[in-house]
Amino acid sequence: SMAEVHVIGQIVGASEFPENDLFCKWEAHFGPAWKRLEGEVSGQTQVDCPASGEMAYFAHPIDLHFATRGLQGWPKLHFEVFHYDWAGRSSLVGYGFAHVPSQPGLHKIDCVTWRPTGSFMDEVSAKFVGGGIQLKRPDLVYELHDRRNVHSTAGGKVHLELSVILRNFDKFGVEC
Amino acid sequence: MAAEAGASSFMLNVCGQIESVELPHYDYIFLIYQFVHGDDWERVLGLEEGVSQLSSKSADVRGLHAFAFPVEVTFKSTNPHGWPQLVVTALGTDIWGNQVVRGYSVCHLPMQPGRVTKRVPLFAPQSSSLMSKLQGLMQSEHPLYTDPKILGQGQGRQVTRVRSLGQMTLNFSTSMKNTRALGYQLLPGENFGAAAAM
Repeated sequence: SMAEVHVIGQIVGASEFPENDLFCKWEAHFGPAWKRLEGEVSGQTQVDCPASGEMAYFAHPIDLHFATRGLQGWPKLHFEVFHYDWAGRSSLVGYGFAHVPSQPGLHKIDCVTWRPTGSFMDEVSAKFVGGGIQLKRPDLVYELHDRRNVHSTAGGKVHLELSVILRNFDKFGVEC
Repeated sequence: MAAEAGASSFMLNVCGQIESVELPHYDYIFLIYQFVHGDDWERVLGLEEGVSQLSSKSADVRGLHAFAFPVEVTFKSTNPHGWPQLVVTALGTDIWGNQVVRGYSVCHLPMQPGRVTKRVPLFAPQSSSLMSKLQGLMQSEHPLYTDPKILGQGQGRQVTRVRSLGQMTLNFSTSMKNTRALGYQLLPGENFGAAAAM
């Protein structure tokens, strides 16, 4: 029998962004030793404009079931937060990622985000054209690439509530 | 109670209540709850749908709707995937006396044994355009989900616009049976050693 991991919970919401009317796109990434057995590996949340308070709520379910032959390439979740403006355009306001916790139980995770900073002209034209400033290669957010040429500005936080259930890890002598 | 040898399914038992709702903007609210779960899950005890009393907002500064509405359910499953979620619809009446959705909430039932108190946001779908919003106000039609169970899914939510406008407080006491026998580790620090059959 294989070692299995269940990741079940929600993308609760996002806070500390200067804009309201936010939504979030998410994707799971994992190494070759891992196999996704059940569950969607990506999705996009509702757009929330809160009536009051700081938090935009997504209440978006995540329910993934993996089988694994090794610890390398432990799954991570990658997020892109967008602002949906009055004209119906989406602008990128934050990139972030979080590893799926390796410890079983309930985890409340605050995931920091950043957005690429453009030149003065880039920033001005982004305000008019919309879309925000985006990375050409979004995998820079969650992979171990060299980032020295990227200049970023802090965004807000994405809040997750995830429960992890492990199966058969003890049979393989793995402690989490 | 000894774990059953050769058990192929586990059980989840949840007892709790929807304590209260903060939606101070609305005077009259009642709640309907439903469960959403995967195909490997079967509800063996408990209601498919629960309907609460009608609540009036408290006259004090809290503006609170207190329900103390029991939620008791037992599920049987062969797989944690599709873990049950509780979907709650908060309903009220508009000035013309029509039933109107005031908000929805969705949360998973706990995945660890023990007692928890949760605060879950309530949100209401919005019209997609100003025109449909005005039309809705005139005809007393407010946007709603044709099936609230869609909130338990990850697909199909990307086109919805919502406004979050309140909080619901719930508590759950949770116990499981046979999860350990099936090799599942739900909490940190559990050491099965050689107890699980190879």
